[in-house]
Amino acid sequence: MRSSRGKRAIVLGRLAGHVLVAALCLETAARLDDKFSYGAPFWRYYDPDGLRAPDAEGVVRNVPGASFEKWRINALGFRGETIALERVPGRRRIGCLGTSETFGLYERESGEWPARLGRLLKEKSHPDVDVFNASVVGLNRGTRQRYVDKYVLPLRPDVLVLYLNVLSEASYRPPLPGTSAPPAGASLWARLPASRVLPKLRRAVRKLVPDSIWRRYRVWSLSRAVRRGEAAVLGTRPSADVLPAEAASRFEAYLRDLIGAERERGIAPVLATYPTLGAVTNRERYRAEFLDERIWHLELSELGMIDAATRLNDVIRRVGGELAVPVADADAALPKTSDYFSDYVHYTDAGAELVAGTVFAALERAGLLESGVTPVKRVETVERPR
Amino acid sequence: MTFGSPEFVLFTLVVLTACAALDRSRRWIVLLVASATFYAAVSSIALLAILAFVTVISWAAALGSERHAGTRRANWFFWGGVLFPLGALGLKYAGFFVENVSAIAGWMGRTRPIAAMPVVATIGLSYYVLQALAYLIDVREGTVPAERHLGRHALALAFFPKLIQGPIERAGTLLPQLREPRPIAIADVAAGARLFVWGLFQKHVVADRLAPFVDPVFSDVRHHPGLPILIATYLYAAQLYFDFAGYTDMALGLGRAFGIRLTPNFSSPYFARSIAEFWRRWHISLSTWLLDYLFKPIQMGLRHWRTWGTPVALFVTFLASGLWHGANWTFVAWGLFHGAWLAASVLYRPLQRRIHRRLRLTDSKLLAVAQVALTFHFVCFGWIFFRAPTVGDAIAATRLLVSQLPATLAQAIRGNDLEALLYLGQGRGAFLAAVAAIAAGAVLRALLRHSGALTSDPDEQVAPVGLPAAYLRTATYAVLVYGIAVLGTSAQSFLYAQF
Repeated sequence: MRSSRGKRAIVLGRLAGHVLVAALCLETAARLDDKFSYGAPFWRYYDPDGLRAPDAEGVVRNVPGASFEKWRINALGFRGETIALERVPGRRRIGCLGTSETFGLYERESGEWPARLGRLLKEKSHPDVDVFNASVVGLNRGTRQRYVDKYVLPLRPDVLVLYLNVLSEASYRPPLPGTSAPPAGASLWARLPASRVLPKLRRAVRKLVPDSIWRRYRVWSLSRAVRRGEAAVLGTRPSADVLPAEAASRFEAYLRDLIGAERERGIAPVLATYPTLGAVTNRERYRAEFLDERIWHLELSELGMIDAATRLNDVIRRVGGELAVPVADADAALPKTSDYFSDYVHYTDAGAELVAGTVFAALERAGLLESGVTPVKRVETVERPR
Repeated sequence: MTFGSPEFVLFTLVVLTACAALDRSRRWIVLLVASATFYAAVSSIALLAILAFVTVISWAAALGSERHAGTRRANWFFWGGVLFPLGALGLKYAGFFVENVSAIAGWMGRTRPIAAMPVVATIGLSYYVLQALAYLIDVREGTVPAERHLGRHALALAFFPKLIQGPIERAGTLLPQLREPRPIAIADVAAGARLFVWGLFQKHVVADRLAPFVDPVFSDVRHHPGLPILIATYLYAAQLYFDFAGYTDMALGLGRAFGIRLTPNFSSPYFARSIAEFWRRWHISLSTWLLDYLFKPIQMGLRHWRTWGTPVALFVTFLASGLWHGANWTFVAWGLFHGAWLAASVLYRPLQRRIHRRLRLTDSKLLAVAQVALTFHFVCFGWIFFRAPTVGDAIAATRLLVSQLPATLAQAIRGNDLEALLYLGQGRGAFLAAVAAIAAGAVLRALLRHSGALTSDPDEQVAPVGLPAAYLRTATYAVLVYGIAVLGTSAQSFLYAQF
């Protein structure tokens, strides 16, 4: 006769066994699903963070051949179709340099604006122009030029569309000397194969929850995160409602340097203003989106983010005018509604289509699509991408 | 709130909790209120009023018919009770009737058009009206006693798991379960949940995945060559089965959770060796209803016609079956097609048996396979009429299927234009996923049936399974949950709810 404690232990053991079997099956199903849907490895690490990594010199770039779900990096380290490293005589190249909004996040596969720009050019009788998406998620002022020199210049673009995230530029701080980010996956924990089923189940649960309840939950949880972040970063200081003047000046100086650097390298730069969802009139409506973005710019209040975008976009327009650089005014083109924005800075398919159209119009206005117009002074000393 | 949606699951959990918390004698109140709330949410207050009207009339008519049994007054009660629900069912056909009368008037030279009737959505009406009619007939024939408790009678008609798409329950099996409800047991809730999950899988992972292949072809059937129509027809056969069987399993699972056994509607219908057998395996609750309350009385009435009595009874029964499915000539054509084939098969069966005996094929496995394949293709051919928007479209589809199949098949074999011909414009990956989903549905169904996990009967004693089998079952349900949560496509409405 077993004691009641022994019976309870057996029942609990069996229950734990069922939970373990269920968890293993769910994880196996998720891995098989990834394998058949995206060709993902069954055992190895499979995560969006695997799409990019710092190289030996600390320059963050996309990992050639990496893929995660709909995101695929080509052999040269860019999102989209592979293009030949060597140029074909008579064909022109346009590079699009931005961060996650240009890399593409929420759009359908091949729906990011550079891919749409490529299709638009072909539709509008410019089949001799190739567009490549040179964006890297999180690319910032610290490594941008080094990245361009090392990985973009070997493709010898005639035109480089500089799509700068003005919010990141507004809150950019150069890293302290002697510090650098640890390489991804360095710790043992990070190298362990992470669960693939949990993110999928989380997404499934999200779909089950009615939108109104989900938004309330997000506002609540993001408000908490922002409050905690403010306490950690700002202490008792209030966040700024207006972008500090020196931040705008620093950005202007950087922009002028960037344009000069591209021109020196024989590339015709094209600027784009940076659209965001935020406006003074829609703060309540898009509360969750505001909070979600604020986590990255805690020194700026919500009004501060709106002000920063407005002022830095004005800087882009002014500098473009002064230095005779074409400006694609995407900020003016995109209505500030969720029809065009999936979150505060990333686009829906409709938003990406509008951005592509705006960039196309700017290129056309500047005559950069006409054969033989772009002055190209080649820089031959750059490395090939590894 | 749609059947199987998250809101519906939450609603069911609340109702189940209330039932478990309350005294068993009061459970009918909770279930009746829940059923009325559900019906109002999925249809309209007007349809809820019609349901209440049919309920009260059938309840009173059955009581009157029983009390005055053997007298002329019993007939009045009976026919009154039958005509009112049939009148309510007329709502479904009013538009169809007016449209056709108008067309006939037009042919006869009448120039003034007859005002068109609006199409009325009659969710669930066809199902509970049949149930009310069966109840009245059963009471009249003394098969079941009239129910004195209006609430219980109302619940028998409106029990929410089976209200909008059946199964069409008989008073003789459902009312006793409502009179003496079983306690809400963890084992029943668990078994019911398993059935429900399996039903959701069939609906969201298999059936809904097939809709994007089928719908574009049948909505523009005249512009598709032979092979796409053939593939869309096969996929529609799978879609219809998994959609309806999925719903039925969910309903059976919910019934079981509440301690109520509902009638299974399917028994591997596409493995039938003849059309008669198909109808014993497909939508069983409707087939048996038609058999008992329509076919048998007609057959009895025509028994002096000798050889022709049964075929004519079958023909009429399936004409009615077609009309029951919808107010459209396509359903009439589909019903006539099945009726004609069944009628013919009654006539040629003796000859068929003689041939089989002569050729020594009676127990041949090859013959069985050939019969299954032939029956399946016959049924699929019928589905063209069932799915096409008009009879003209169905005829056009048949013509294109016959005339262009060889050429398009040859093209596909050569590997030309596979995207349009084979994948129906959805891409190779999506097509393979759809085929894999059908295969997974079929294999899992076989596995679950074999393990006894699909029983809807709380009284059925399933042998306790050993530990490995229990773990295997857990593993299977984990895969089903993954399929529903991650691979399930956006929900489409149930196909059979429109009938």
